[in-house]
Amino acid sequence: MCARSYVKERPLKLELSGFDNSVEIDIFCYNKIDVGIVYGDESISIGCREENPIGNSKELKGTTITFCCTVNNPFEREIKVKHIIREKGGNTKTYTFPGDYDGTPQFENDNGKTCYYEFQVKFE
Amino acid sequence: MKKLILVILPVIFCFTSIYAEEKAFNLENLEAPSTPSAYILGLNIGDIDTPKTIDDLEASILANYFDEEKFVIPNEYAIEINPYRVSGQPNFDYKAYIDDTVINNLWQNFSVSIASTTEYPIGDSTFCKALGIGFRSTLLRGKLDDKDKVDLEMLFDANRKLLTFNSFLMNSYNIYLKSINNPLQKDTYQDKTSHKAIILKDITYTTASKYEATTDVFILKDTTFTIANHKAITLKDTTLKIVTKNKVSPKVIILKDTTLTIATEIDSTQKYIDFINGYRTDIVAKSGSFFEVNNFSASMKAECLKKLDDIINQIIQSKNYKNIKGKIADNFCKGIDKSTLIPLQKRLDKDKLTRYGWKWDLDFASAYVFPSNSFDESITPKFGFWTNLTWSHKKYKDLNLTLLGRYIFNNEDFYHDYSDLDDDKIYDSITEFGGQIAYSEKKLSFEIEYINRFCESDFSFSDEKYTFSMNYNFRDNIVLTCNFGKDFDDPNSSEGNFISGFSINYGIGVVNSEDLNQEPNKK
Repeated sequence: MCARSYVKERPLKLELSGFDNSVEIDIFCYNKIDVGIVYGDESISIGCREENPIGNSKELKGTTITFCCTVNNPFEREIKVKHIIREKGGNTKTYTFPGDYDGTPQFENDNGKTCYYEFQVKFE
Repeated sequence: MKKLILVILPVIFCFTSIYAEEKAFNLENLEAPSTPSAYILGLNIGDIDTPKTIDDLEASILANYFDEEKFVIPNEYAIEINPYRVSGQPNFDYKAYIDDTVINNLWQNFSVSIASTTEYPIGDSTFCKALGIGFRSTLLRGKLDDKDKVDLEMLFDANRKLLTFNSFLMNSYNIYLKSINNPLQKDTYQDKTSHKAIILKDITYTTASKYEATTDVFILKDTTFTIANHKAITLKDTTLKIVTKNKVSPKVIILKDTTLTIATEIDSTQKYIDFINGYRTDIVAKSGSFFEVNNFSASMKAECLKKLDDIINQIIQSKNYKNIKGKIADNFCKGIDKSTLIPLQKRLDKDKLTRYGWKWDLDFASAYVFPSNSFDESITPKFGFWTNLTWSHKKYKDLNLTLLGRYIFNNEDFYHDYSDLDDDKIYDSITEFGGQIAYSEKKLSFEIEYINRFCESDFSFSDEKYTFSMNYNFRDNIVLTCNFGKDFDDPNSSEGNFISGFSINYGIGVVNSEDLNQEPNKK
């Protein structure tokens, strides 16, 4: 069976200040794709064009959050999603799928079919 | 009908020629020209470069505008760039796609085109380099049927919900696995037992077997044995020195006062089944609030849980428990393709043809000529703008009514200095108004056009063009074409022309996959 799930091997590391700043994720979709992202113990769901607070820098420091993402493109174009995780007034980390994907199997989906990808952000 | 065709066909054959092309000759139709920049230069470029990404754009520019790192103007080349498309259409909104809003239409359809030639005529059979720069966009692109609109919105919404639900399944899987302390780690059973004597029969030597032929001594070191009662027995840090007769490998080995480490795999089936069923129960318990927060309908909820059930049952039946999470994700993604993605793609294809109401395009272009072939000296011989306004009725989408307006400004100084035209053939401006009725369905298509042209200068000149064109597809490879009308009197030659003609177009026909797959002797 052709693989449809792509889990990033190395977690992204984002250094937080540990102050009371808010940490957020912004999602940018390209080529008319649609995406459904769920993360955290409370299963917060977001989609394209959305930004959402992940939490507070103080509370997040030392934790790891997994972002579970399912994506497709009804217009049969290439899949591309950019995720920007940033602490307000602090550092930023960007993960672009599939450009930054480093796992196995190799990503193969140029016709926009539904696939699942996952990445972790380690807050240090 | 068949009798009529049989009578007409021989008559037509008497007056026609046979072509292997699609059309006998081109009629100027009222659709926007392929690209405004080529139109203003009077170029007829069939293959316009339309890069879809930044990389494509960069490659096109380097390949066509640079020769050994020097900037050059390519001959008969046109490139059209849609900035929205090249930028990857970031954050495209499906609702904006369905709606017909002017601001979205303008931005999403806006394109810049550049055409060039090295053979722009400037009189006395001489030519120079020229560039055309054009812009176009769409103000209105037509409306969708209410039913199509509702169907599309529902499909987009359902697709989004299924995507989110799959991510929820995976997120819940991660949480569940963590909560039960990951029971799916390596399943092996370790046993260290001391034995007074163990007899190994029918031994298979699998690793590190050494055989010394000269001494008839068989030495086994750190060897794994496979025997009937156990899956594997590993002797660690042990060397067996066995004297054999006639260099025959021993079938029986007796180990005395030996400690054996026995590693055997456990049948974990039940453990996996318990795990999967636990996960299923966990999802059902959690999904209630997830469905509520994300506004899932009752049928959507049932569909999602049914899909999950089917996938889990399939895994249990297959008894293959490797990469359970990947299997759930892969299968659910396949299910999404089947239930919403493919229907959505089919709908979008259909939608391209079924928009109705007003469609409005705007075009602008300007030409730049370099008479001395140097960029330091350029002249604008003409620029112009034009617009097409098309209307079709909700019930009769095959029938389109189009209005055209076009204004071309000519730089008289350029034509006086650089052309062979007589003064009375040079016009300040050309204004055209016209209309078209076009009908197209599977077998029959026809177009009726009328354009009136006003040429302004020290004097005024009016001209008109009217054409009728009809195609009837008898079969895929036989088309009856009929053209009739009067073309413009060429403002540069003042000679009118009358166009008419019948033709039968023969095509070779499409090669069917069945033909290719046929065995040679069956052909």
